[in-house]
Amino acid sequence: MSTRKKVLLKVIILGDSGVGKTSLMNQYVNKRFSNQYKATIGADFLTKELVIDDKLVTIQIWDTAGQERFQSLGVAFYRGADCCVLCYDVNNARSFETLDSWRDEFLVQASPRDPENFPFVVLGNKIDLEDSKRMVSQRRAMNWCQSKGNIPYFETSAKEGIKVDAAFETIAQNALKKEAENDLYSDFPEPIRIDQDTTRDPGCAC
Amino acid sequence: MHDAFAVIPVVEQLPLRVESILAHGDRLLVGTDTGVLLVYSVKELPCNIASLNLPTATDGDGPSNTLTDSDGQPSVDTQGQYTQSLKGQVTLELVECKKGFARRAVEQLEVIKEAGLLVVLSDACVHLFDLVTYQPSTTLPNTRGASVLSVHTGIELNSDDSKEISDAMGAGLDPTKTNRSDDSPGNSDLPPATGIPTLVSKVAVGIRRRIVVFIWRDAEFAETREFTAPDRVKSMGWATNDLLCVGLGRGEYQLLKVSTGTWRELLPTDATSMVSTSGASVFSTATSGMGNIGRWGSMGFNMLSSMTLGSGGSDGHPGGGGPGSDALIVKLPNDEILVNRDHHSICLDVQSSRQPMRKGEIIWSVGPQAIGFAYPYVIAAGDKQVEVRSLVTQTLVQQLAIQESALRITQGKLVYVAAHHTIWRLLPLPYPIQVVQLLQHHEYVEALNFVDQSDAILVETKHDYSQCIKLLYAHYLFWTKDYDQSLTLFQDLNVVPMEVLHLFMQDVDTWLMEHQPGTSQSRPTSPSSESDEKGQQSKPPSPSPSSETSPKKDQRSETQSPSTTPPESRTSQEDTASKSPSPTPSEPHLNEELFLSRMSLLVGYLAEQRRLISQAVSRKQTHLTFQHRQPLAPEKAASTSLDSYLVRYLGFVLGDTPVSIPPLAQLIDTTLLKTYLITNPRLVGPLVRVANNACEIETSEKLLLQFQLYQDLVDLYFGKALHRKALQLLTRLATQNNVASSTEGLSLPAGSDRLTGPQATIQYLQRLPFQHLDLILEYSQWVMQRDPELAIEVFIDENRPPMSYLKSPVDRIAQTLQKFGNEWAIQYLEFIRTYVLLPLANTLKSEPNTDTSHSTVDSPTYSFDRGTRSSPFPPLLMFSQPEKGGDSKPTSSRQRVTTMSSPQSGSEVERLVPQVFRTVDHRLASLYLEQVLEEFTDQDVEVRGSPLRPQSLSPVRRKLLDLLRDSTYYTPELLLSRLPMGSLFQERVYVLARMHRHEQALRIIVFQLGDFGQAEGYCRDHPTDNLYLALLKIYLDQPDGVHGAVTTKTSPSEKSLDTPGTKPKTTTTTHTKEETSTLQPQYVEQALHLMSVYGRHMDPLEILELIPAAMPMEKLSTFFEQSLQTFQHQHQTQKVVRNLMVAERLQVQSRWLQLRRQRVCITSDRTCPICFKRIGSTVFVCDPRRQPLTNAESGANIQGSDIGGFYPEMGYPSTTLGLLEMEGRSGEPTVVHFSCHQRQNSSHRR
Repeated sequence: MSTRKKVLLKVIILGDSGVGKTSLMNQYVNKRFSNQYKATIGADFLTKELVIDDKLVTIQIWDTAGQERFQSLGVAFYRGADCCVLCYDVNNARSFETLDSWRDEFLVQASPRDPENFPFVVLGNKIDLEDSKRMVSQRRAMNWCQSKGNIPYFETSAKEGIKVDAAFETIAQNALKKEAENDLYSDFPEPIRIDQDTTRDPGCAC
Repeated sequence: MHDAFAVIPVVEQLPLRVESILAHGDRLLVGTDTGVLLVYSVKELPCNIASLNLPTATDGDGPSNTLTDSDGQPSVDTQGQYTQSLKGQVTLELVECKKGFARRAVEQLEVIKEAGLLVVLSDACVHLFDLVTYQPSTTLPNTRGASVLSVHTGIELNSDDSKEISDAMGAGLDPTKTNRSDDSPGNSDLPPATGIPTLVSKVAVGIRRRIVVFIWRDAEFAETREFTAPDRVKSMGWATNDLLCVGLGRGEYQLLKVSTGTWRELLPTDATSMVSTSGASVFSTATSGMGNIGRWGSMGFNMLSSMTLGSGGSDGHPGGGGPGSDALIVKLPNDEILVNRDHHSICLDVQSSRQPMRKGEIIWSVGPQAIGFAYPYVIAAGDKQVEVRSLVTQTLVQQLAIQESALRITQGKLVYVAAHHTIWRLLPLPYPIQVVQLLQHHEYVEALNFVDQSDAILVETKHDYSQCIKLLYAHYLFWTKDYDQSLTLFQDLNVVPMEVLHLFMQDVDTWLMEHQPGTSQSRPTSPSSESDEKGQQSKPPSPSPSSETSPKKDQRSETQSPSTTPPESRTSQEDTASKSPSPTPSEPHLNEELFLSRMSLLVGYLAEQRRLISQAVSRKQTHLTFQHRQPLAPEKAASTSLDSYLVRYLGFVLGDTPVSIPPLAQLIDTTLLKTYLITNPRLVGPLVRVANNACEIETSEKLLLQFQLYQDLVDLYFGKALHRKALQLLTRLATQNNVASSTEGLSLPAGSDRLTGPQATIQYLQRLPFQHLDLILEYSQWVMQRDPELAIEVFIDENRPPMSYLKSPVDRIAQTLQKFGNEWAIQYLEFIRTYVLLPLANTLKSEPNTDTSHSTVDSPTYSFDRGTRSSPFPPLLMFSQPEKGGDSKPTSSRQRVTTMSSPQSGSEVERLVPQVFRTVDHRLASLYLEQVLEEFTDQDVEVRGSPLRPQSLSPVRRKLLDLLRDSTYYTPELLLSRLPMGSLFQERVYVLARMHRHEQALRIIVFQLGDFGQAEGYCRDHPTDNLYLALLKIYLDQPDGVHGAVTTKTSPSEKSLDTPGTKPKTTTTTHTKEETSTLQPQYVEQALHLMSVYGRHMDPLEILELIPAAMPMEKLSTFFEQSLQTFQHQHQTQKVVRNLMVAERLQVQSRWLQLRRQRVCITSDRTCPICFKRIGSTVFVCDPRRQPLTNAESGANIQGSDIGGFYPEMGYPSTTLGLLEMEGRSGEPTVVHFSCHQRQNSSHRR
């Protein structure tokens, strides 16, 4: 990889409704947080430029609606993603338990070339709330991440801005790694489609 | 290429030379070189499908042979048929032959229909004739030297201005009009009353460098305008009502805006190059061009079509290869024109507001001499051939050879092509025939375009046709291996997925069969799979369509010509059968690649379908609607009309079909599984784990086994709750590893080590909820036998929520585990106790009202060191110091545990916790005891009379003691019977205490353990039972106590007999004071100590009874002193209390009296402030809490105040009294109805 071309990374945030996907994105990109809950409709994205290993990288963060699973978004949306961020709310055990299905669902929809090594990042959000409300222990989350192939795990707070930057930096780095691998593939020339030319003969033979 | 037209010669071997032709209504006017006008009447039969497809072979074949399809494709035959069969359709009959119609050759004929005028260019002048009688009407003035003319009729908005002009000019001219036959869609009956839209006909005449425009409005001649052209006018054509396109001498095209007279470049950049070679005068009478070219130049004939005027002299073309056609201008619909030079025609959009825009370019194979336009085709006539091209796609549609070089083409629907002595009619074939031809040649794009553009097809049917054609196209694309486009098209069409999958999934099963990992590649294909493959190949690609279309085909072949080429589907199948993508030995690699690309494309399609399905499911739909082929309605299929020909050819219509979702989802997901297996098996895992996957079990099972994706299969089983199957598989996998050659046929792929041991089964069992306990127990058996240390994790997994343990049958599990060894049961029970029960019990204690749905519990980390197995519940150890550096983990390492308690489960927890506690504790106690007894046999019997030293106890013993002491849940009676007699005294104490048999317990403490401190502590711990006296009794009355304790002993040791308490033989139940002499001094000491410290807790009289006579008084003095003091103190205190009580009583009495004195005055008009009705004589209430509305004077008019009234506040607590007092002073209390008061009270309470 070199600096010869601009790098655009597509990152998709998934997770149950209300775990703070939009807030995380907003906190990271705009450094803003609002306590009001507004359900995301469909999908929205923000971009941010950052420098990783002396490379200027544009990270395009796609925020999705958690409420309807994969409904308004087609396969095309998930294709070409460089990294998938799985979010849950540490104060909501259910949102953690659904991570598995979000991950599998994503893999089915995106059908990446190498599903086992596709970069995921798990964020446990809302750690700013008081300790007694916490439902998912760090250990449990770490165990899960480990069992899924050492997914990086971060405990964040979109409200307080805790660890958000660090998390997204890792996300970008992992996405970049994946992008680099993809570039390796794309360096191969497109396969020549012999089939098309030989069999289709639209004109006449006169 | 297909046949758009049939060329039918209508006039042959005309003795005269044709100079101009004009089709008008049912007439065909032919102008000749000698000035003779021939008038033909045209008879056209409606096209009959029967006649088309069953041509009469008897027809003479001479003239029809002139038309051959030059591409040499099979369609030549059909064209011949069409031509032959259509030959009889058009007949011309010479009606009139006007000799001397013109003095010279009739160079151009035009018509103004509204005005009934025939416009004739002859002898370099423009003449007007009557359209009916062909009598000369007038000659247009100022037109001498005219070389070209163009006529246009359109609707314009009237204006006063033009009216005046028309008035002014009206006298000068006879009513003479021109018009184009096809451009006046019956506008003559336009309502003149409105006056606003006016039918305007314009005749433009080109005279050297002048252009004269004659204008008719509503059949009335209106005005003349004259313009000067920048160069010689060579050709002209109206582009719009106001724009005249002019081809000029120096080789350029310009647009003339007639209303303003302004000129504009039509092709600013390349116009010059385009027209550069047309040098001859427009209306040239120049002599012949090259011989092989049409002789049109030398003849001086005119372009007869109403639009095209240019007739370039060929003299500019010495080469002769390209018959230097000249400026030809054709008007197209939508304000477009087509201008031509040489082989090129350019289509331009010339809306007056904008700069002309290029829309497309046609390159003719032969330079056209004349161009005509018949929607949607552009027709060019040239050297012995007529070329038809589509206007939109510019593709060549048809080439028709003719014997002579054609020179003239009429415009509009009725297309005639004229050569010198022959005239042909270009009869457009009915659209179904054209479409069918295109389909036969797989020209689907063309067919779609044609359907889209054709004005013969109704708009609604257009869509249907398009859809059907697209479907065929998608199939065709598939067979030409353009899978990407094919899939896109299928998806756009929203075709039933079954059809798509059927197409795309062929060979998949074969592939899957052949590609078994391990055994696969080198293995020669078994005969069965080979035959299978063959079957696959020979099978029609799409049974569903073919099965539907096949009856159609039969019908068609009955109704249609047998020589008609078979329908697309069949041909395509046959075509492609040979080059089917199924693997053939010759090019396996290529095929493999193709196949894989097909599969990966299919993955995208399937994922999209999945998404749609899950969307529908979440909207609670049960069906999804797809386009599906449906057979024709019988009446339609039987119809022989031309219109239904296309439909019958297609043999189906597309209709919306609801597809039930569950089977569809199953199909999609199973197929997705297959495609994943082919393209990327690593994606299989995520698919089978997705919660809502609908993979069909049987197929998936087979495939996953075949591909040795056992882990995924296990996941699939888990998702489908087929736990037994999963466990069976895991067991087989794990156990067969030992047996080297597996008879069961399960071979493990490399790197699947984690499936080989018990680990996989353990993990699976851990995931399994306790509802499946039978399974868990059944399959945990072998892992427990194999590796109990690992397997026990199934039952003590911290990842399970505590509630699930609580609800599981603990007893049963413990029982089962006991079979494998007590230690496992103990480990399990300890886990339940520590991890589940204690935290829950704590929560219940700390939050009696579980108002929050979720609660967190701090539970000690269940850190169980398997190596030493000690101290499972450190927080409970009372007399065991945590061993320094030992294995007991610090209790501070706490972990958050979620109790999945939903709001209503709070009570359930309350109910379940003690229940489970009972089970666990009892079982645990028994198990501990068992172990302790086991250990015990090896050790020395416990030393009597010495207190237990915790340090010296074994861990199990300690645990047992802790449990017995702290737990309230075990069943002491049962345990007691199991306790050995001669030992475990401390345990016995705890059990007895639990049974409230304190005296016995104390006796054991005193006599067996000799732990007096513990005895006192015991009394302190049970304050309610006041055990001090009992203890004292024991001290002072030991023989009885010892007797009681010892009589139950079965195996008293020798030592115990020697102890002072054991003299049962001498004791009697009636003891005397003398006997007390046997008192041991240590007990007496203890008794005195007890009396002096706890004396006031005991009744002195009873103590006195107990004190033995031999007791020295001085020893008792402290006790007596204390007793007396206590007594005195009590006496004094009670006196004080009594007097205080008396005082309080007096106070209350006085308050009572005060309240009784209160009066209210009920006058006749006093009303209740609540209901505002009079109190009258009803029952009322004085409510002191209410402020009185008025301050009535007290004492006045006292009148039966107490009648029926009462003070409800009398029964109120004293605070209310105080309130009453205060308010009583401020004024009279409010009086309300009793009923109102009640009502209000009840509402308050609510």
